[in-house]
Amino acid sequence: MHHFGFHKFGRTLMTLVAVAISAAMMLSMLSIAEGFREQSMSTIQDSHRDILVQAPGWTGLSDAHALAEELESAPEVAFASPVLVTDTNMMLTLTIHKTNTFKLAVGAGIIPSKEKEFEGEDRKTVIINNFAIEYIDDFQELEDPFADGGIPTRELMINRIFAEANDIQKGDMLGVNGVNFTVSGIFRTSFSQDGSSGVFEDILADTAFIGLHLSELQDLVGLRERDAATFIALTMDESVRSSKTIEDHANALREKYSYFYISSKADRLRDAEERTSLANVFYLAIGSVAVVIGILFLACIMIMSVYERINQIGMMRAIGISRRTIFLQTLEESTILVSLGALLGLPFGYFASEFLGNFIGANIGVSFDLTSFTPQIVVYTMLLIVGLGVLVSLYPAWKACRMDIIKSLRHVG
Amino acid sequence: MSLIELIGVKKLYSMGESEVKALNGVDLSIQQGEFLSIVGPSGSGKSTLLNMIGCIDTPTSGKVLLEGKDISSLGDRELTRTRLRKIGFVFQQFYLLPTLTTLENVELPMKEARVPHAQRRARAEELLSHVSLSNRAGHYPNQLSGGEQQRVAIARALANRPHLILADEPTGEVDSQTTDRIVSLLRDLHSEQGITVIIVTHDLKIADSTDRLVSLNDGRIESDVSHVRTDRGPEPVQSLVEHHKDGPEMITGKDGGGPDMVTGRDENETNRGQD
Ligand SMILES: Nc1ncnc2c1ncn2[C@@H]1O[C@H](COP(=O)(O)OP(=O)(O)OP(=O)(O)O)[C@@H](O)[C@H]1O
Ligand SMILES: [Mg+2]
Repeated sequence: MHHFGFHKFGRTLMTLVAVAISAAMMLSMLSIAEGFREQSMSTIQDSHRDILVQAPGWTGLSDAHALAEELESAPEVAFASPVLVTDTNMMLTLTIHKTNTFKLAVGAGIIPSKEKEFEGEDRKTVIINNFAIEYIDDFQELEDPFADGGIPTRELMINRIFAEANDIQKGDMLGVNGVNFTVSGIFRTSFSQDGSSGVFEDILADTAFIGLHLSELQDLVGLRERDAATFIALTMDESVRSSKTIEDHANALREKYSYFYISSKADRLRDAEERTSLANVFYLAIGSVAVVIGILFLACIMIMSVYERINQIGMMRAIGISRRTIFLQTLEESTILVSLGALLGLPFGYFASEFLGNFIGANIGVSFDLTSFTPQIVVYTMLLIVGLGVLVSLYPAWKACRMDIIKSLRHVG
Repeated sequence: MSLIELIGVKKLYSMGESEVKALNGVDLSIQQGEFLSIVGPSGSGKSTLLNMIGCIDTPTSGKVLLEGKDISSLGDRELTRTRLRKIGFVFQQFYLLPTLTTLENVELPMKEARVPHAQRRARAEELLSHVSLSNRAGHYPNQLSGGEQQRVAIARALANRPHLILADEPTGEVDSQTTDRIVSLLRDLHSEQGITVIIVTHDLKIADSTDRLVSLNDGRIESDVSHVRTDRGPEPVQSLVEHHKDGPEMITGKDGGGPDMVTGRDENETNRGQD
């Protein structure tokens, strides 16, 4: 039995819709933020690179092979592999022979034999600077093509978006800094699996992302003699591979090689968490604006209905209804209103997050599920909205219960 | 001990420079079981007086004692409790809650008094049947006529078995036939249950039918007359009212005197004894 009730149907409906929209906005923003977070976390989580050993500068690791071997000799370590990633001041010039065009390229030097050894049969994933390179084609699995006077493979892999944009096929010849390479594979980055266009694709279509043998990349950029690598990636032995052993080993390495920057998976997860949480602030801000608008709407409606019912409230007080009852009654009404609105927003929030996720995904060219509509997000949003709704209703409720009885009775509405 | 005792009650409203004296020194004593009307021209302070008796207003100076207790000394909680348990209000504008059914409106004060559900439902039904509105229990106020709404309001006022019913122009918005019905309902409450009933009215016919008539003018009691009212008719009061219209000096009641100013007191008590 409600003293006041929701007899103004149109207005009640409008309030419900306003609250529902803000709930839906908050839900979809949070689930997109969560989706991004989960994605970047799982990329790291799924990586077989448990520990990265890194010199302060990118070329600073002398004798990378020797160090890798030393690191690999520890019983817990399955293998250690130097990785070289050229950075922007070391751009490679790529010549596409078919069209005689020059393009820029970023190179990632890896040791395919090691990486491949570790991974399963069908998917060979290498994570370089958050790009997951999945090499699915043949690639000579030599430890070092130059070893024992061997002949370089002169093979490279190239990302599919660039290949498609420039009509490059497997078997084509490309020049990198004047040296000819055969395209032995086209790889996919995890940002480009579905072929949709977007900002990343534009960049990738213009700047090649190439993967090649570590020593051949070192050779190309003139760093072979110094055995330069960006970092050495350690993969723990399967039998002892747990986050604790990874952390323990990372700590041991920190003591032993105090001049290196050593990051465990947990460290990289933490870094990613920080990076994404910064981005999440943006989504949270959008969601919050929607929530604030919805809640303000509710507050206005509550204040309006209290003022409309001044006579009724005066009468109720006159016949002995306590302030407490009137206060609670007003709060109860707004709580029911805001809760119903939030509940109504739930399905809308779900569909909005799916839609927005696909929309944003299509725009930045990602194919994985960008949204994560978790129960925690639902609970958090519901609590936030209902909590705020109750909070802003304290004022009208207080107003209602403190009204002067005589003035309320005499009030001419 | 009087049920209600007003001693030198003043109520001032200051409106910037000017000052309105809604009540300008009122002394009045009302016993349990009286059936009394307050009359007077518009703006004479009738509602203000009734609101003080009803514990929803407090005097600027002077004292209002309810069962010997000074209402100015009571906090909001006690005042609210007193209104809920001891007083039944009936307003000119009915003031039923539009979102509640007739039955729920009657239940409202009992709900506040935490009467168990079944019990209050039964009592509400009984009260509705008392005002002959059993068949309208499930209706909403906007589906009732003015007179019916006022009967619901009376039923609501009776919900917590008050000692005192205060009605501020209860017939102000209904036709004369309905007026008779409402007044006889209030009179029955007085005569059958001994409830003290105070009616503020413009209607001299109503004033006529009460046992005691307090007449206000400019915030002062102009006359206060009790009389033996036989079931035959209201002649004595009728004549009084006529006198009253001609001039206050004709009235046997004392105006604005001390606490024990009511000349008709004894007479009235005798009358009650006869009831
Ligand atoms: N809040 C207020 N501010 C200023 N003056 C007020 C206020 N409330 C009442 N008054 C004045 O007090 C006087 C008495 O008012 P009250 O309502 O008691 O009169 P009444 O006898 O009930 O009149 P009516 O028969 O028209 O209902 C009036 O002159 C009124 O204007
Ligand atoms: Mg009045």
